[in-house]
Amino acid sequence: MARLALEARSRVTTRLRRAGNVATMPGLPDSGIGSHYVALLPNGPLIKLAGTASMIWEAAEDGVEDTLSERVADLLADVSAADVDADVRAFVDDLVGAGYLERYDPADGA
Amino acid sequence: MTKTTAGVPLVVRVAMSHAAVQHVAQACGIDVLHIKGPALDPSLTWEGREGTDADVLVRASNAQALVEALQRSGWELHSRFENSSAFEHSATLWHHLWGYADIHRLFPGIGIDPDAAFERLWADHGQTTIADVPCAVPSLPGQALVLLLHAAREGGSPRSADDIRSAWGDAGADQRAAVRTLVDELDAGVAFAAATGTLDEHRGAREYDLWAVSLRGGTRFQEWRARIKAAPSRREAASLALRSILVNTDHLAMLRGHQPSGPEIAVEFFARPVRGVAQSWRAWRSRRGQG
Repeated sequence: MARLALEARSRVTTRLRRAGNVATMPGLPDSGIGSHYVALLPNGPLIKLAGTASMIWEAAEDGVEDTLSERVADLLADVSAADVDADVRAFVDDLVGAGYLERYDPADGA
Repeated sequence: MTKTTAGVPLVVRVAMSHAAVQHVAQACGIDVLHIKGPALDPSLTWEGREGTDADVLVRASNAQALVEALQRSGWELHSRFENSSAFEHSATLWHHLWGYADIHRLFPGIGIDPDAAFERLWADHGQTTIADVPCAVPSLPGQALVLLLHAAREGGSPRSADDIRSAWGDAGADQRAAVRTLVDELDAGVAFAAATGTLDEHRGAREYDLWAVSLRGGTRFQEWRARIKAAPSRREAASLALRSILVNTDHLAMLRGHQPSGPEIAVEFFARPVRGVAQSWRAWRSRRGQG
């Protein structure tokens, strides 16, 4: 029981942030679609996140992970958090796995 | 959801290049001042001003260490300090993702010792973010002076005219006074005069010919003669005079698109004096034609 409570608390408080060795630039305004260039330093890769990917990136940066799907759904309109939850979580896992984002707990003082 | 690396705009690559150089420098504990391009204060830039590379200034004593650290991080050395210009001021590196970076060990036009100049610019440096990475930049007068000194080398191009307007023409009285103070502290009077149109007031200065050639153009021979005359000591003048007859293999590699072979260097060695004589002859004929 105590473990479940701890896990639930952990999900709520875990936040996402840009990793320390990541550089980002918003895409050019005339590209017609929201985008971000995101680079791992010092040697790459450099990727372009466009459309929904860019939106998730922006929402994920320094945000609570557990509410990310809700915030993305709000930005997209006409969809529910449940509709996008699996895709958002998979995409965030990709970004964390590749080193662009990192999870942290503010209570750790990190 | 799309992830792609295709078609990265130059403005993005240049910003990433600054960020990448900063990352490597920081990991080595080397202080770096980011100059020009996206490092510029908005008050000093103008619509359409776009850089093609990342320019940074480091202590001369750290310059080689930074170049080597960058080479260990995927950068290729394109041009060594000795081969960059008449001033031997920067090394050019290239990265397949970030593009070009110029590592300046000194800034042409500054007369005092390069490390002392860096300390002066570092003393009141500011901070900006480039590609979300914190980067140190010179103070506002420092940035203006760097732009002016760079413009003095550009020989009256439209771009340098716009830089001079933004850094000096549009500057208020306080900003001008701060720039002039820095000019005195850094012993940058001759180059500053070249940028602001008063070079001829410095005819007696040993650097006068060098800035006159930079500003107005000249033959290879005139440039080398000016370099030798501008050398601060006889020893450096002698060293320059000896180097003037050697081939710049970095430049030759860029022209040929590959590292030059032994025979190519030999051919270039003999071609250079011929080209120098031809340029001097053309310049003499042009002067006669005008006279």
